[in-house]
Amino acid sequence: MMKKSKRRLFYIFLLPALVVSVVLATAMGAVAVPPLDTVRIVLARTVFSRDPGRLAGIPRGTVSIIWNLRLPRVLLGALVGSSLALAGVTFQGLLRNPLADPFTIGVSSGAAAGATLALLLRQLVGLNLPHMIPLFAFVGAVLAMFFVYNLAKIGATVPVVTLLLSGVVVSSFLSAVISMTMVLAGQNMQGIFFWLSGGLTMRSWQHLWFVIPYLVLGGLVLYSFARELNIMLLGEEAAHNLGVSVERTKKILLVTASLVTASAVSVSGMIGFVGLIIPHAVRIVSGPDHRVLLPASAVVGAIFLIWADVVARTVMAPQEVPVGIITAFVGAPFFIYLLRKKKRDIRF
Amino acid sequence: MKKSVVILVLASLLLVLAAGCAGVSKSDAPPQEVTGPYPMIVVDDDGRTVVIDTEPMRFVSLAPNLTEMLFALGLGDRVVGVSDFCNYPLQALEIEKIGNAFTPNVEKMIALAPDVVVSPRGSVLQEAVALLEQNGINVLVYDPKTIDEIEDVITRIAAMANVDVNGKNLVSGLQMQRKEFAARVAAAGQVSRPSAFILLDLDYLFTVGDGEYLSELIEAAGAVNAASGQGVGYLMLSEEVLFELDPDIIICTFSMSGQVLAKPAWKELSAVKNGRVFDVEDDLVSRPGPRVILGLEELYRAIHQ
Amino acid sequence: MEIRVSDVDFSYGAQRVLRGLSLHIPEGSFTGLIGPNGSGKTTLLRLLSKAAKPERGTIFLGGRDMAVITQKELARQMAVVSQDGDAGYLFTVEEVVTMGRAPYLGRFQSESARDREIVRGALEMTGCLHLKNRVVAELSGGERQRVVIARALAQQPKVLLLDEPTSHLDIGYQQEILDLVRRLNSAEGMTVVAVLHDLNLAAYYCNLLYLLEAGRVFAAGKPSDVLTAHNVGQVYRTRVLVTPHPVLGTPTVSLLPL
Repeated sequence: MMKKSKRRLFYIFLLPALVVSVVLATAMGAVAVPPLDTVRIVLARTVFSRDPGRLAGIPRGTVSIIWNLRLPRVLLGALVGSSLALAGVTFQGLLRNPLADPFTIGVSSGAAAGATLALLLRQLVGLNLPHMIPLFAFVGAVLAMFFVYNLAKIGATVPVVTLLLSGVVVSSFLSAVISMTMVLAGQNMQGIFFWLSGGLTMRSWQHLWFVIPYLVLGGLVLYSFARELNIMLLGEEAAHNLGVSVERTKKILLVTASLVTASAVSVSGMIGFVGLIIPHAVRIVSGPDHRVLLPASAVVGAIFLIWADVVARTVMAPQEVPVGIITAFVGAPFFIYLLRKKKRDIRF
Repeated sequence: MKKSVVILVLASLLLVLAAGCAGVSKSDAPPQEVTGPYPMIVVDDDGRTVVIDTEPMRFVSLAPNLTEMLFALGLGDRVVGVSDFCNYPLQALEIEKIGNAFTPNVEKMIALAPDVVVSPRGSVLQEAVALLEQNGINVLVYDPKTIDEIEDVITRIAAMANVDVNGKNLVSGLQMQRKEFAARVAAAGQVSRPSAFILLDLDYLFTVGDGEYLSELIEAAGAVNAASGQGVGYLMLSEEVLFELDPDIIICTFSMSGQVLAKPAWKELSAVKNGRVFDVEDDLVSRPGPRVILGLEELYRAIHQ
Repeated sequence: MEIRVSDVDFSYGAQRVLRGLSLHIPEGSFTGLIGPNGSGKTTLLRLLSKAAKPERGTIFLGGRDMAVITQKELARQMAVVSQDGDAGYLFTVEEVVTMGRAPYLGRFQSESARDREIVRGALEMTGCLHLKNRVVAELSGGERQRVVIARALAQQPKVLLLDEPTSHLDIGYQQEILDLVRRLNSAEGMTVVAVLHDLNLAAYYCNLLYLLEAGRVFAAGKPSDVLTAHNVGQVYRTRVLVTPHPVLGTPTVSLLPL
């Protein structure tokens, strides 16, 4: 039951916060650009259809920076953050496990492995189909998830300990696969590093299209299963007795969450901890009802990654830090905190 | 057991040990007549002092630039082991590989029974060095970072290998080439030197800052390193900094120029608009060795095209 | 709604749990399934709720073969109250009970006013109305079990299955829960099938008992007919004394020293 007041909160606070974050983040970066110029540039390009007069007095390089580099990057950060948060909510709900997220259960690694294999094929065989990378990433993600899930299953449940262990094992193995693939593809260490630490650098408008369709489609599917996700929290037998086709629902949701993860990873490498901590943070305010939790997490995830990326590109300016490192710095302490809380406190 | 007896036994043991150590440190061989340059005391780039007893006839090289130096000094026949990356001159490809520069295979090195191992800094771990020295193998670190240092290292290696004449000839040849090159650069008559951005990778914006071999080369070839002042060493820059710098030329150390020119976000850069994006052969510009002039030529070509 | 189990076999892997089991649960009855551990009572209940499929034989619900009834449709006829009350700790009572309406709602359909009315009715009937905004994690064991029953009632079932619904509760709560169930049975005409391990409770509340042993029906009928010293002694391998309850008159089983 979606409380009217919670819905109102969502619209009054979260959506505007997202818009404000996008605007502010576009104004910040390694190169100092006066905020007013930022606004003028964005308005000129969107509203005033490139009327050159509007940009008088602003150096060309600056226009490029804002429009071709920062804005697409900020938007991409929002999309990736959303995707990872949605996947995190879904995995946590389905597996009834507060420590599940695409990173810990090996789905991100699977996606990255798939993506790097696609790159290798492109390199060695010259194969280059459209959307090849996100689709290969998707296959990798689903395979990894399938493997981890079955490895961790004990009877009908997936206990926290075995899930984490299986996730770690599969992730480690896949990281090695990724490194090996990059070496075979003749890449230097930087290429490997990108996949393992994640980054939003050197991305432009075209990359958005690798994420948008999957996020929209996947997000809608997940939201339409929100009631089932709520009921699944009662346990699989109880859900079964309430008329939910448990196995079918699980398959659909796991695959959809993997798809959403895969598209994000194929564009930005493995960014960890977003899918883990955002659902928890949001749940504290929104409660466990997925009809609020899902959209709220999507927005908060976007805001979170936008700001993590701002830190990534300003904290060591003119140099950049891979954004996965920033999210790890924030996320790891939170993860430790979660592990230390007694299990019965964090049961759903 | 009585305490006093224990102390007595321990004390005598200590005495014996001390005497033994003192005894070993002294050389037992009678003093030899010194004829020729050996035994030679050599100090390497890590500051380590090594004694070379006889003329080294078997070398192992752990870096491509050092391999090139050995061959250029006419010591090619003496090289018995090289790293995986050593690919010049062609004869080097025939020589036994002992692993890559990060993790060389110590066992293989020992099996080859070299007299001297030449290595760049940080390549062979302390433990490995000790192991090699125990097997009578000398490890010498040579890590030239500037063109002057290349000449210095060549001279020192030549002396160590007793081929001083070759060393002198090689160095004077290099110096002459440098002079000619510098004159050519000056004569190109450019009033203001163009700025060149060295691009090392496309997933991250990797470039080279101050204090590196590559940055010295680019300056010697007649350009200004666009990333100068942004930091020391290898840098991972924020993409927007590239736009702020807006270099005249972009030089790629791998064949990336096609991808760079095709990047939609970079269309506005001056270098891209003017088509001044060039690939250079990484081997030539990243090895501080005898082919330094060729490296300079590569860069010169890219700058003055 | 009546249930007929016809010659059903079931195994867990190599272990045969039910062998050619047949029984009939009349409409409106309060039927108890009793027997020692491993006799198959919980398995039978799982087959009745379609949590598992029989290897052989058929189960009929209201005359229809259960194999053709979809899960969602079944959830509109039958509700299950299990023992561990995994009731969704962070949800409020009202939210949990509302989940009982899920079998009636389409994917994009929201709960209607009628649904909310039914939920309210279920809360009232189970005496949980004053708890509706409380978070389930804060409730006592007895309260939580009542919430589970309320959720089952929100499904508006014709059959209620209970799997040892009171085994982890104190005596007071046990009575409270079973009294409630009995009221639903007599007032609403709901067919009740309960797995109980407390023989005396079974004797008092049920009007039909099936005593199971090793996957077969050992004895069936009224409590006074089934709960004899001989039957109980044989199936549970112990010595007991069965006497009429001093006040209620129902058979009461007492242990005897071996």
